[in-house]
Amino acid sequence: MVSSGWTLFGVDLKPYVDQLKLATSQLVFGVESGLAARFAKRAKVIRADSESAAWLDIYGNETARCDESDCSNVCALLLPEDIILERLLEIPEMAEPQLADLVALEAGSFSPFAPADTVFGWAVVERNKGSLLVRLVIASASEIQERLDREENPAQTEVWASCSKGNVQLLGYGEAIRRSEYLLRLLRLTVMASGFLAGLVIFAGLVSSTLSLQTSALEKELKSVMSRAAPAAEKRRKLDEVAADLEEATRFGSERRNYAGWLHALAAKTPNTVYLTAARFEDGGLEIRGLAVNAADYLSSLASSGLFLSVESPNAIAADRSTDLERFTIRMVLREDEVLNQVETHTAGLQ
Amino acid sequence: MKDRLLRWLERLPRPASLLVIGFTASCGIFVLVLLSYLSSPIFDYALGKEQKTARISRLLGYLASESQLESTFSLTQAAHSELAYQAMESNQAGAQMQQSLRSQAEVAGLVVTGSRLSTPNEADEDAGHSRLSVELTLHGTPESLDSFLASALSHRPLLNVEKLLISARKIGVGGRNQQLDPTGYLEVRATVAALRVRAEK
Repeated sequence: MVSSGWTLFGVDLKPYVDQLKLATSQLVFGVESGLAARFAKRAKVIRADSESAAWLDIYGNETARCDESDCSNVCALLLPEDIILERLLEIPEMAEPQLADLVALEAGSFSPFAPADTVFGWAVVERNKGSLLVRLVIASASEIQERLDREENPAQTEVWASCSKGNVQLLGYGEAIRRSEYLLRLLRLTVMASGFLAGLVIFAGLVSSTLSLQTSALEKELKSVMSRAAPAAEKRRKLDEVAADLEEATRFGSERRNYAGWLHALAAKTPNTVYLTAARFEDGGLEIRGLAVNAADYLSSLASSGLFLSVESPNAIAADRSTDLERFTIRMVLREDEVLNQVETHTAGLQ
Repeated sequence: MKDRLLRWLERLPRPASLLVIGFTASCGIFVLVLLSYLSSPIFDYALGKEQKTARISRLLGYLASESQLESTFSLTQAAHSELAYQAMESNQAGAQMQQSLRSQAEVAGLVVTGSRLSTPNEADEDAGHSRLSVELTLHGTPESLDSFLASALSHRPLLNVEKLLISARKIGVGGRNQQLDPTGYLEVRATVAALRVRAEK
């Protein structure tokens, strides 16, 4: 096995380098990528048997028109089919990196001309799974030279073979000119795009560094102000704490109930025929017990007084034998919004 | 556009398509790294500027109004000290409250037959205060009770009568012989709460 001398940790890099070269070549010159068709200039066709103007792109496709910016100074001499030999070769895809060498060998062995008189060209015409179909064309160099001698500028003339299915370029004539023009154009575009991107990056970098400087300046100012204002900030913190305590104490005050007022209100709603024996205020509720001539009347008068909610008698009203009155227990809820419940707090005065 | 790119990529021979994918991915990673590196100060500035400027303004405001802060603090603290017992030992504050309640009751004309300071419950404590609670057992006339409740309401520090149980005093001995006191004398049990500023603040 032949080693290229390019090794990394003992691994021969040549196959990878070949693959990279092949991939680049496919991308830059391949028909499938279309890059060359878009950016390479066209050559003017010289045809012995026709006077009509035609143009040839880098893949050998003919067009009748060409924009001025897309036209090259290079001419393309199109050979008729009767002076070329054509052959289709099927080559394994894995041999593609060495395709040029393989085709040259095939051309040498297939050519009926003397080796010094043999010129050839080739093009990949089809890609199948695992194999390539290559069209090989061979012609006599002296025959071509005779035709070229009749041209004005043979050094700037490419030679193409007109085949049954498309044209194939014969190697060794003026093809390098258009290729180098195309590569130069690609390079120029790449440099322009890179320059534009670099400009964007530089602009963003400038903006970024300016803002970074401003952020640092702001942080520095903040630190300075923080150190100057530390005692004032501490006073503010303490004020917030005391204010929160005051609010809490105020809430505590506002939750208080004026039981004296409620007792007065209850007394005002209680007729002389009712005798209260106990009253219990707890959690906003009131439970009263006592004796009455008519406990049910008393219950309904309390319910309709508007002072209480949920007025109910948890136990049955029963007659008391010793007093001949009705014994009752009434539970109710004190109305939160009642005037009596409005507690005047000291803090309200402060606020 | 995306479909056209995908179709173009599919049309390419495998080595060329791998090269395009690899190159695009490398460029993408490079651009991402570059963008994150360049955008970090921009975001820092954009997000932090308003916050920092506001903070600086606030601190400068504190500096400018330092004397006002001090006077407001004194006023607020004075107001607060009127509403709650100040930070001291819980028992000391409780004893002070108990003593105050007893004297109020006596001034109102009630007879204090018992008073007990409840242990503060942790559930009753909030951020700045703990709660003191005193249970009182009293007896006296309705007028005395009225006067006591009114004085509790106006007392400073604040007092909150949380529970109030009033019953008519009974006279006589034994269950059946007992009768309600015709003079209207009352027996009262009250639970009174107050706030105390927490000492550990």
